[in-house]
Amino acid sequence: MLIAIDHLTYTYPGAATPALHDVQLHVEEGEFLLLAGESGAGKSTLLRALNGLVPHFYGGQIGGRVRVAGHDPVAEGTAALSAIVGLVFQDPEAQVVADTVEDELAFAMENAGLPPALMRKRIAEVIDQLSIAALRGRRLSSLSGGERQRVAIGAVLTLQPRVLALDEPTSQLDPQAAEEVLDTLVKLNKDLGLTIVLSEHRLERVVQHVDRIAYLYPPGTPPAIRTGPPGNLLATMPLAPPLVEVARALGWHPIPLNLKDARRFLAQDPRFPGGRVVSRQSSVVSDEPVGSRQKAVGSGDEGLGVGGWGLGNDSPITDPPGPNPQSPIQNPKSADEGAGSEEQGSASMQSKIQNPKSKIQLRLDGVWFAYGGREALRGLSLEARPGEVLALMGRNGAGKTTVLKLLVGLLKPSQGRVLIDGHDTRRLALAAIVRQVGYVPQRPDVLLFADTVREELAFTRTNHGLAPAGPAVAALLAQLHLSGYGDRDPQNLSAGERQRVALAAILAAEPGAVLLDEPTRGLDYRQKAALSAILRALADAGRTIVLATHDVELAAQLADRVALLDDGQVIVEGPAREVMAGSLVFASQVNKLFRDPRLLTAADVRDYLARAPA
Amino acid sequence: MSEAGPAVRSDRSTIRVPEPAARLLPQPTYHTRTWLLWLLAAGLAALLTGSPGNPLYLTLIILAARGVDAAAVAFEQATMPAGDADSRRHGWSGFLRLGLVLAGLSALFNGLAAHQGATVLAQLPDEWPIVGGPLTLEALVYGALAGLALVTVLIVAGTFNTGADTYALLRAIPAFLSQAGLVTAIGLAYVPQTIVRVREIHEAQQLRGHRFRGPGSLLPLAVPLLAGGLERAIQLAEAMESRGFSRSAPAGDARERATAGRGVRLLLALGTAGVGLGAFLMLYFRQAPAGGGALLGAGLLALGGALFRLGRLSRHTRYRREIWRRRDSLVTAPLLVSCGGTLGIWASHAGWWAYTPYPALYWPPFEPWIGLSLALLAAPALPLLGLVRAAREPDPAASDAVTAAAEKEARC
Repeated sequence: MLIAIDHLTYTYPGAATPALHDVQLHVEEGEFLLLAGESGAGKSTLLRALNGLVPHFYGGQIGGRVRVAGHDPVAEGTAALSAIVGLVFQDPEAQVVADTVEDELAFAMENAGLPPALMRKRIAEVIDQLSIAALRGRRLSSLSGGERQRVAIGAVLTLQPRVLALDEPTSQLDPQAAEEVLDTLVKLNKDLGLTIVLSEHRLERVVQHVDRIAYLYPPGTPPAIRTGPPGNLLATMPLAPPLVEVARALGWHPIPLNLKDARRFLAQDPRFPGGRVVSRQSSVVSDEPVGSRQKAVGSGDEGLGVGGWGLGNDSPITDPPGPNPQSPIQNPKSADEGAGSEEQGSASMQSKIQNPKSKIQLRLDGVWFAYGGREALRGLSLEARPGEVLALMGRNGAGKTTVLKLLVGLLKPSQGRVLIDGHDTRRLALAAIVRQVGYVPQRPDVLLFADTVREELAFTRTNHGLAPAGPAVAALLAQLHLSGYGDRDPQNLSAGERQRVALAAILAAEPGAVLLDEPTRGLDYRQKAALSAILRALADAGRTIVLATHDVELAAQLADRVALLDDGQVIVEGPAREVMAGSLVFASQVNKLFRDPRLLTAADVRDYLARAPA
Repeated sequence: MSEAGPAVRSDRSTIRVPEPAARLLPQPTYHTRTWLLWLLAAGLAALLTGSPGNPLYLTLIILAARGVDAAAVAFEQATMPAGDADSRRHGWSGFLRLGLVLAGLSALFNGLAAHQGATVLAQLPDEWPIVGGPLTLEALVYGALAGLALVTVLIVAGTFNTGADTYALLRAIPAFLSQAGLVTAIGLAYVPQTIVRVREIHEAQQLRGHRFRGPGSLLPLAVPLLAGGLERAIQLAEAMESRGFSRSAPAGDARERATAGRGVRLLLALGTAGVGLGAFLMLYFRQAPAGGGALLGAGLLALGGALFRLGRLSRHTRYRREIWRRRDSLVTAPLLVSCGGTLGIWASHAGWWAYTPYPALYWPPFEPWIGLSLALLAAPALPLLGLVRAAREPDPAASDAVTAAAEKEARC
């Protein structure tokens, strides 16, 4: 038994309730353990207990017993445990100590007092193991996030720890970089037998590689933790990747962990003869023309039925936290019925905030743009319409963020035109543009500064000459599930909540169009679903929504249209279902399984089952 | 690690690890000591030329610094992996611009406030406080030259800053200060990130309708920066702690440590006493300060020794070892000559340096020996430019073999 945690209870200093309560966890040498659980369940705290950061760095009260390779982190302290447990953190920028990659790799060994000759040998080995030879002489400031994370892993491996513990190492990375990091971990575990404890929310990438999953429940609800092989645990885990949700909906058991296994189930499933969606039933599915997920604003009669498409709002699993799953924010019309509205305020208030003053159409017309001498956009044309969600996808450096910055007038095209409702941005003042077009940056942290959520919103509104408070603000908070949060300090909220506060701070100006850069970075499945439902409601109310995202599942769930960008040009643009189903890289997991444009998300599959004749 | 597996520790194995050959990448321009020597030579020249200073000498120093900086930039661009070279290359022009602004202001203030000099340009009403009186060409020139002297010092510092590797410099300081140096180095490593962050925040708040309306409107910029900075500082501290940063337990067994500790305490006590008593004696017996001075010196030595012992007790080791290359030896000689020449001329012919535009402006004198001594400051540019040219030629064999390797690696 390499790690033995028994009856671990820990309370942060000043906290009323424990962050961990009576946690049991045993890990064998060479195991690859996935630590899952909702945000706030204590995953980070548990990982920090492995090397003594909890309680030595944070203070607080600890009870129970922790042993790692026979050592007691509570008694021996973090520094002494550095040679036993290598801990890698979330933010690739915040764990860098040195200027160059090689110095970074050497840092832990310098602290341990290893002789220089041995350091050189270890560094050479680690560089080979992690395949980072090309980075060796580079400056850390010039590395991408994924490269930095791999260097961070290398920097703890040089001490040859017995356990590698990682706290959401990919949450700040784009999918390609995340995959590189996870591949590295799989290789370390398989080739070297290194014991790995990983907390991660991109479950779809890792469940097929891990030996066991430990699911941590928020404290206060026994059992504190459940462990087991992935196939068993995934069947009941509250947060699950799309493929697992499909398997659950279809009753496949044991839960297939990768596409290959899932295809085997699919081939034998009588509901899908030949592994295909039956064409007889297609009348059920294709009532809606392919790709037209959006509905005419205000045509609420068909709303709820179609709203089920892609939103997942009928599932208890992906639902935003809130007492009523059939939340009226899904559909502006249903708010008028007033049925089931929680703390949402009156229906009139609701429609007031939901219907923007003006509908904004955004257009790029043959736009060229260069940073210094480097061309970022080359004759790009694109249109975003009111009531529609447009997702910009593509590799890093494809030009997604540049497009957003052009649309909000921060950059001006060198050739071509950017039109906001027909007006050229070159002739508009920035102040005039930002009243119409809201921009939510990648990190909500760069926006939030006030002491309370309410002040945050008031700041935006006074900037735009609006009354700082009023019924519209209350309605907005309700719409973003922030009703009880008005007086909370944004700095103390979770990542998902802060993302929503940032969105609220932008929406407070009542813009007709909202641009979002990577809105789901760092969010778990549940938070993502909540955000996507909110954005859907905003679009349905007539706003123009443009997302730049790497998140295939988000685009599958939410987007009406998708534009794939590459090298500063649009390579494909069209209805989400058609574009995403035809793509190798940008197809959702569910779509890769069914290979049918009508089934992009788990919700699509559930919907299909519900409508299919028995 | 690969052959042993993570569970088996090979630290104490008897495998002999050979001392390494010179690493090729990344290749610094010069050894930190060479850069320090250049800083000494150029700084000495700039300070001795003085303020207001002979403009010919000051210009010569600036030109030499410019040449060295340009060569260092060209060299780094030729050897650094692609995408890496531009990361800290904004220093020089910034220093120059700052310097020009200072020189302009200095000329303006001195011109308005000092009313000496033969060449009267204008007469300002006497009843105006301070500025009233004759406005002279000499006063303007004097101010500008004082500014130019300041510019020179700034430019020397700027060239050193961009040329020398700050991180290497900080890690190269003596062991007893190494923790402080390391902490400073880590702080500096955050500067580029902070600049990026400031821009991000400013953009985001601007798009939220934020405008600058007095000091209060700094809050939306400052708070996210500080909050984000604090958060990252905590994570950095955790990361450092997890990698054993505070593991400063001294080497050796407990008894050895106790003995060493006693030695250090004794040295510290003696040193402090010596410094205090020596200083007192020097002040009290001003006519014969030699005895007190000796005691003061001995005290300082004891303190230095204590700190050195403390450094030795730390079990941290150092990975980075700088390599003294042939080009370091090549430029050391002219830099030493420049240093010696500057000092020698100053000691023997202090008058050669002096220049002042008062009472009437005249063309500054130029002593060829001083000119030669200052021109030698450009020496570090030559080997670098030679290497860069060799690297640009198609024959890789002639190119110091370095840049070819650099490019190859960058392509991988």
